[in-house]
Amino acid sequence: MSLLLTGGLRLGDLDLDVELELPGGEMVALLGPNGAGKTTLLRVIAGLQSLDHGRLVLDGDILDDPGAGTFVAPERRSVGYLFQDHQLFPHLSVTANVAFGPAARRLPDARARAAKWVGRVGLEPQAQARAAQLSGGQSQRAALARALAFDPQVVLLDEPLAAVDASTRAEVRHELKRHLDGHQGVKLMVTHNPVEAAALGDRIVVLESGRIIDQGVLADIAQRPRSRYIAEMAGVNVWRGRAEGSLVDLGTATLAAPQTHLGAVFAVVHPAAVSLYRKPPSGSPRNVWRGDITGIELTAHRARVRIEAGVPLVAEVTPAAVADLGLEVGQVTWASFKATEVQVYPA
Amino acid sequence: MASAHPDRLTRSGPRTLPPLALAGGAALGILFVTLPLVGLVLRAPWRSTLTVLGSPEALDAIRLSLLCSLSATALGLLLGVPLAWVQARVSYPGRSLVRALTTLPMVLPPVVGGVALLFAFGRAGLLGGALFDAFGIQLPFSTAGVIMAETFVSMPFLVLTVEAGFRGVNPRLEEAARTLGAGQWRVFRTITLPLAAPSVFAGAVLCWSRALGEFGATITFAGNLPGQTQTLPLAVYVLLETRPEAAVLLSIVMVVVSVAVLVGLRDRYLRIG
Repeated sequence: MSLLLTGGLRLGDLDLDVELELPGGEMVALLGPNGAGKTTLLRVIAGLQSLDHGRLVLDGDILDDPGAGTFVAPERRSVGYLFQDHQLFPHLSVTANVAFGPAARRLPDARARAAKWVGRVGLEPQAQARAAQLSGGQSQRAALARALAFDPQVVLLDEPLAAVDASTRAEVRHELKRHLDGHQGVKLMVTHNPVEAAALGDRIVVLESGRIIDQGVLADIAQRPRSRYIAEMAGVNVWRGRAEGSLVDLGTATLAAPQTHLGAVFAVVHPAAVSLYRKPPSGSPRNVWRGDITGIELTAHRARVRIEAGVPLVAEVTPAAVADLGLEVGQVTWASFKATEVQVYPA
Repeated sequence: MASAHPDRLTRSGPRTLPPLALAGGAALGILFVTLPLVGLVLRAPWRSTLTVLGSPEALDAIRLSLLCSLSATALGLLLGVPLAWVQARVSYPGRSLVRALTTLPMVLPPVVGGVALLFAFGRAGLLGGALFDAFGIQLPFSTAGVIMAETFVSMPFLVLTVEAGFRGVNPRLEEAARTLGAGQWRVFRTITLPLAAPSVFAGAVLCWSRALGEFGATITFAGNLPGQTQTLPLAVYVLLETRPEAAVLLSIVMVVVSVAVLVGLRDRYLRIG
């Protein structure tokens, strides 16, 4: 079993255009900032949104192909969708909610099937309760049971932990993993939380501004970030530029790199490798940028200083250094880091 | 559906007397509405209640009024609920024009509505001639005509109320039902309609009470034939000339019904007071 999505659509400010293959049995975590198009991508797969161009194919069956005029209605697709805010039917009991899918799809023994799933997610005591009477975690389990009760070939989860209290999040994450591990269909979850993506996903796909910019396991993605979003997440500085020999042109700044490269590259520098000065420093050859301090975030053991030096830069120094240098927002500072601290890789 | 500012409209702080112009106006307003009702109650020949209301004329009018107003409500539901759904859920060119046209009977003088119905369904009307030639059906001056006139005037109340109810149903719930395997008709039956049920009920009651009081369109389109088209309001109007006490008693019947509807709807659906 596999699902193949190529193409996309325009919706307001969003311009979604992807090529994504989801093999069965693997949980893929779609990671990206708000507005990247993650939920829209799920809605395309569920049939709640149609493609402008391209096609969506599940196991050889075309679900959406605007070029050929093909569109399979959502109720004719085999897609279980766990919505971000669960969307339990407020006028029905938990059991009736779970039985809705099997009954609508005319599966035999819809009630018995629902009862089995209610038991499986541990909601027997709440079987006759209404959605409004459930806690966040219970409501999530009910919605999960409802999405899985008709044995869908595709399971979609939109921010599955967003509506769950922080205190029970780890537990719910565990349960979610337990219920989904055995599912052999196509599984895709959306999150903006890298920890959740790494904990639940076998593979991470990074979506930004409607484009897939990276995929793999979290460690690799964080090691070589290909976007500001991932760099922020990994806590490093990343820039995109053009390399010529050992110099990288970032447009509004230039960077000295340890090795020679050619063409479009990403350059990464860890904030702890950046030193700050009140006056232009002298000494060994290295990168020295003059910039304005735009922000200082203080924690107990370190201070993150944001600098605008043609390109944005974050330096991590000790709180003592901030005090000693008298660093303040709006001040001019010199930031320096050794060429050997710069990591460069092709874009 | 708790209101965000429950006491937004309540004056707080130190007790002060309201300005004379407002207090006086309010008092006059209350008098203006209640005095005629008090007059009715005082003038009513309570001793002859049973004989008047038990007379064949009155019974006919009551029976006709119930039959026609309930039929008009049923017809209103049959046509109005689908119309309300389309207006709430389908976007198509000309939707606001349709809304304006379908709510027009609310503001139109009922007599004009009756004239319009005559021109459409009268013997010489747009459809009326064809209906008579093909099936021998004659709607004006018949009980069916009363039901049509009442539906024409009262259905907009139902459509507007039910449309607001459908709009209040979260479309995400309908989407969730679609992904679970329900087609649009099943979604309507199992999700949209049950969730909008209070509005459908309120709309039906408003429609029914408006139909019960219908006068102008009915007398214009269906005439005033005792036992066939003479509903309570028409009977009251006629009796006022000949037997005013009977007119008063029949009026009180309608007042009681109206008050019962208002009280029944007030807390749960209309959110007045």
